[in-house]
Amino acid sequence: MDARKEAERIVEAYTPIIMRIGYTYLRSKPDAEDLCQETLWKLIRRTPPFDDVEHEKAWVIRASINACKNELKSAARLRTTTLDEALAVGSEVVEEPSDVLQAVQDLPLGYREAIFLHYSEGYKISEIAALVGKSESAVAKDLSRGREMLRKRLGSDFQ
Amino acid sequence: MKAAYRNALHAIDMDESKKNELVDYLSREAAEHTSVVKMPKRSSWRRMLLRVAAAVVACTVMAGGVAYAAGPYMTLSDAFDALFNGAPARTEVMDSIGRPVGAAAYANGVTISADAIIGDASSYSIVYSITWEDGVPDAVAENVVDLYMDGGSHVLGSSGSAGSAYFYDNDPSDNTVHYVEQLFIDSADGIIGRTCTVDFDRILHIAAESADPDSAQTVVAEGGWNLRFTIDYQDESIALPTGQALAIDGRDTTVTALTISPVSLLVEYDVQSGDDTDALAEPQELPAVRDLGTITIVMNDGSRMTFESDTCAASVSMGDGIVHCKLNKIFESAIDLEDVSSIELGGVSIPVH
Repeated sequence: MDARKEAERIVEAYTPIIMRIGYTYLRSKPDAEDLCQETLWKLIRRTPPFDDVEHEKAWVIRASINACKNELKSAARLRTTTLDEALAVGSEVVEEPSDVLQAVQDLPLGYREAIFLHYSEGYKISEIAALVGKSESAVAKDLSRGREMLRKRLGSDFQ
Repeated sequence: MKAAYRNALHAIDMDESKKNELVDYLSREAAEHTSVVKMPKRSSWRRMLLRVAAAVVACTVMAGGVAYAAGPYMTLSDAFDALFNGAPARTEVMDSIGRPVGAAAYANGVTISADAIIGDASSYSIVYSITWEDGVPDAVAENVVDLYMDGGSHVLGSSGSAGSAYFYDNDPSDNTVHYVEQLFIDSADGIIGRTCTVDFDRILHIAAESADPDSAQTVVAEGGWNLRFTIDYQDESIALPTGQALAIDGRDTTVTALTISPVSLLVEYDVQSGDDTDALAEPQELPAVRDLGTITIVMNDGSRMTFESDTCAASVSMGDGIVHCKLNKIFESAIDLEDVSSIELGGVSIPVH
């Protein structure tokens, strides 16, 4: 397969899910776009073959999640923001997320991760545990507590 | 709630125009990455150099009573002292073109931090600290010059990189060793303002007598460590006159770009290759088209800094009967451009001021 067709294939196949991962973990669309570039660059340079498409997809998800977690841990994100930078960000026109999406985005990271992978991406608890490197009981607990927090916040909108 | 959440999140996608840009970028990455000629990762002269550097820095600490930074990062001054042989001069140069980075990642008891970066529009040197929370293993402490980093840095949007890297230990009594990466980045628009990602997978000890990294290697630390930061130092490069006619391998050659900064020299030239273009692209022919012989930087006081072109990082591309070469040399010590009189290469002398 030539380079362009391969690039088109992976952008088409994986940009949507990497954007969702980036937005869920980093809470920013521009950061999610950077994550797409970073993850797909790693994918296109990767030489060991994948067993199948599911293997490749699992690799992309794990690589994206790991990149997000490292980004969150990085001292770069802890830098203080100057007033000018804060004003510049504040002046951007940003589309408001829906109440439900905002409520999930406001959850602590572990709960948000479990809710995202289960409800948005359809993974079972055992699959989430393998993807994020946690035990199944820990994922089940995160999912349960996340749901409970959403129920309290959304009230009748939570079903 | 489930459907509302799923629908809202799935509505977040990348614009089509940005997807197209990403396809262009990834296509270039996949197609062009192999065109860059990699320099050896480590070399004997560098090992000698770093031993001297370690000795000079250690003496400075003892004599002056100066302590290294208590935090996880080296100070800019300490990092560049080690990088450029402990030379105390050129502080004003370092202040303008060097920057602290302050990005770190942790895995399996080992923290790797990118402490400082110095460079210009086409190359950089990054100084990393590698800290073991339970002390430096003996396999590392006893073999620091034979360590090898599996992985490296990458500038998003660039088409390739080439350079060298080495480990050193400036204080055997602490639980940290340092790693330096010196890279030429092949990028059409320069690297300042771009995102640099660093992906280190493992640190290996490779027996010195083994030329094959896959044999006689031992894993001394398992990652991965992933860092990300923006390249934001000041570029002090000077663009010099071009168009000089040279002869390389008996072929007409023209210098198309020449820039010098306090830390590196970049020369670009076109070799008229005609019908031989494809043949010249073969790996065994690359040494011929990238051979500019000895390159000399002549200082105002008459002193001369020389290096061979085959010690430069190189990028070679071809098309339309022309082989386009880029050669980059990162200097062993930073220079003040005010002190430079001219550059000699390929039999011509090019004035700097």
